[in-house]
Amino acid sequence: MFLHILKYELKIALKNKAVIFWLFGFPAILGTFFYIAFGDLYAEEQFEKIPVALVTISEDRNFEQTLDTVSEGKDGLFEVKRTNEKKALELLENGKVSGIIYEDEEISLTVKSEGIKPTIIRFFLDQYKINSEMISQQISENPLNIFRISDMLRTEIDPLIKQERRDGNQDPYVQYFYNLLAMSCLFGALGGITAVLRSQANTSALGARRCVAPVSKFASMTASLAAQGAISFCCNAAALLYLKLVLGIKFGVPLGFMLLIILAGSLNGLAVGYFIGAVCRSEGMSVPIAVAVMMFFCFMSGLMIGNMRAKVELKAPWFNHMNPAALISDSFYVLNIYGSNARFISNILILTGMTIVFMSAGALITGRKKYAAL
Amino acid sequence: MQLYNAFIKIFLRRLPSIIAYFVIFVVIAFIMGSSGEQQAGFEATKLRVAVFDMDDTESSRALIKFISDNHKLVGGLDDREQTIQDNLYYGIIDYAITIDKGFEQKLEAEEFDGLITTCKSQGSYGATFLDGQLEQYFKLISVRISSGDDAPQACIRANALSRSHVKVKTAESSGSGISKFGYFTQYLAYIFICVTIMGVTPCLMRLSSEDLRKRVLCAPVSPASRTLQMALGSFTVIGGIWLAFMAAAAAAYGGEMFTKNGMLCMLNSLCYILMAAGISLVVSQFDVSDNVLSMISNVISLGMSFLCGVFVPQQYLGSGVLKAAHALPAYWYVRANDMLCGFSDQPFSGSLYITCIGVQLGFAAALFTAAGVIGARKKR
Repeated sequence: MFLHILKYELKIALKNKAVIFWLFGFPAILGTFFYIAFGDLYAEEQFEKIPVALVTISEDRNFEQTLDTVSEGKDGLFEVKRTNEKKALELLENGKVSGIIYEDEEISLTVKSEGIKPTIIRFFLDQYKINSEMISQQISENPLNIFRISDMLRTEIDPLIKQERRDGNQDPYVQYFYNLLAMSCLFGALGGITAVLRSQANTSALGARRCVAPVSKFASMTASLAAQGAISFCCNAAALLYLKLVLGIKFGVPLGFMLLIILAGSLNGLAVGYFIGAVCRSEGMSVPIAVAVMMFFCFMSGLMIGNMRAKVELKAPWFNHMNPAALISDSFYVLNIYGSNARFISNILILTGMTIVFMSAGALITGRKKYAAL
Repeated sequence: MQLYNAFIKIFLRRLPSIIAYFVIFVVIAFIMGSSGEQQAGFEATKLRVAVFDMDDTESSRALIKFISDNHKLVGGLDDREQTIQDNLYYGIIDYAITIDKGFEQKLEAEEFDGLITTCKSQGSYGATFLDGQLEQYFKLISVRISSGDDAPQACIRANALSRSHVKVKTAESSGSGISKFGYFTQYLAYIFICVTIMGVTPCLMRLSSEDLRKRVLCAPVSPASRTLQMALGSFTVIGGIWLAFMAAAAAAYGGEMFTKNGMLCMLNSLCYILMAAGISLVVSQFDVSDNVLSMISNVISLGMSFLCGVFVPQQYLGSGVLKAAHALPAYWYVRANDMLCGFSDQPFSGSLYITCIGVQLGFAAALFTAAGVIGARKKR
């Protein structure tokens, strides 16, 4: 009987093309939007020469020589445009340069607004000023110091031990895709709600027929949930393949593990939906509540603000351990950076535990509802 | 006003679910508002640096003082590799420094290599910047030590020298002092679309369901009156939603709201919610279930928000994306909001504000017309 109901549940679900389209299309379309919006952002953040305009009022050969030295070659700090003040202001206004350096008796800088590029220009100029002041100071203390100081300033020191970060895709924007997949998995909750509504006599005609049929409620409900879970998993897996193979998103996670996370996530979404459907009893109430709760979970895991999960980790780490969206996106992240480790296993175990709890609670509530009691 | 009353009745029946959305989205808007404040510093002058002092000497404390004078220290993190990696990845910190044991001793011995361990976002401007700043700082110390200072004294003198700056002229900031309310209104671009599609569309769909539509058609109500009553009902609900969000904002950011720029932000959001009503009207023309509706609302609201700079500021989006975003109403909403709240370099311009408002109203008109056309075709 289980297989019979499962077959018809799958048939009903597959015939509802709008739902199938949106279950797949929802993450795929959003993923495409994300790809358009973030595709080049990480590449653009990589270091490249900072364009500056140099306006000479009074020539300072030492300064020009220093500026040319740091701007030399492909890895140089600046791309210098020597020009007059009017043209320089125009370049600054149009965003073609990040700052205007005025070469005068005292060097000064004009920038459009605060930011890291203007700060780097200011830092270079500060450094030049400090070095000049220090040399003057040392010479005033002892003129013979000039040679020693010059030597010392020329000598390269290497005070920083630069620790390499882990392997894996360090692009922070890829986590938006992790969260998108998490949201897509949790939207499996809608399938859980549908399964409950189709089993209750007071919510659908199908439910009424099922209630009077000589079939155990457990078999009927399990088959219904299995069908919804399978549809949700297949649609999410198809969306994942689209993101990975068509858009070329570098998740940094082996496909097998990704499918495992999606399976755990889809089942969790289904279980949460089953529980909400069992508690709320009507589509009008359960869908909005499920959507609102899921969106809140996704928001707290970083779907809208990328570092929200890390912020929550600082203030309330316990919340990340009970937020399914955070567990799903963190599982992707952990596999990307560290590979399979205890944290990944713990995430999957918590997700599975939550799935069992919500499924059991849902079964307890719906199992008690007899036709006469509705 | 039978139809208007029916509309309000249907809306009231769905009120509990709309309240659920309202509560969740207000909470999200407030959290986003407070996060937005911190986000504003992402690419600003000061980097967020975590320092782990294993040496705990006068020299190491002087180094921490130097860093805190120039950057923002982030505390409360442990020095595990995993914690540092996670916080660098999620942008909670931009740079991590571990001052190794024996730091001061090395300085005294004039060994300037391998003094501290650093970890950072590779290749970013911020990382390059702080690398250079630290190297310069240690060079100053090396000069002072070779001149006869001891390590702590050299560090203190290097700190004093590092406070010398060139003159920097910054173009006047367009900041308006309404940043908190500004972030709240910024995220309304996402929330209004969600709430109107999930809250208003089901009422409109119910009214255009076959049974109800047939009953209305045979009632002694002229088509003009019917349209007017439906429109009035929609505007009542939309106005109610807008007022509810503004009331929540007034409770939190009252002072900021009732300034000139605050009022202009409110007007901007009012025009935007009218456009959102247009979207919900168009969506209501298609007979879809609640499940599908929630997915449609997320695709439209999240997609438009990411493409138009609601969550990631417009200045960080690629030029191609921004050009495409011109064709979306949220772009104009965010552009006006950024200008009013000082989130962009754009100084206030009355004509640009009117353009932004006008484009949104134009979109609203186009969407209402499109809904009318689709509705008329369906009737045929």
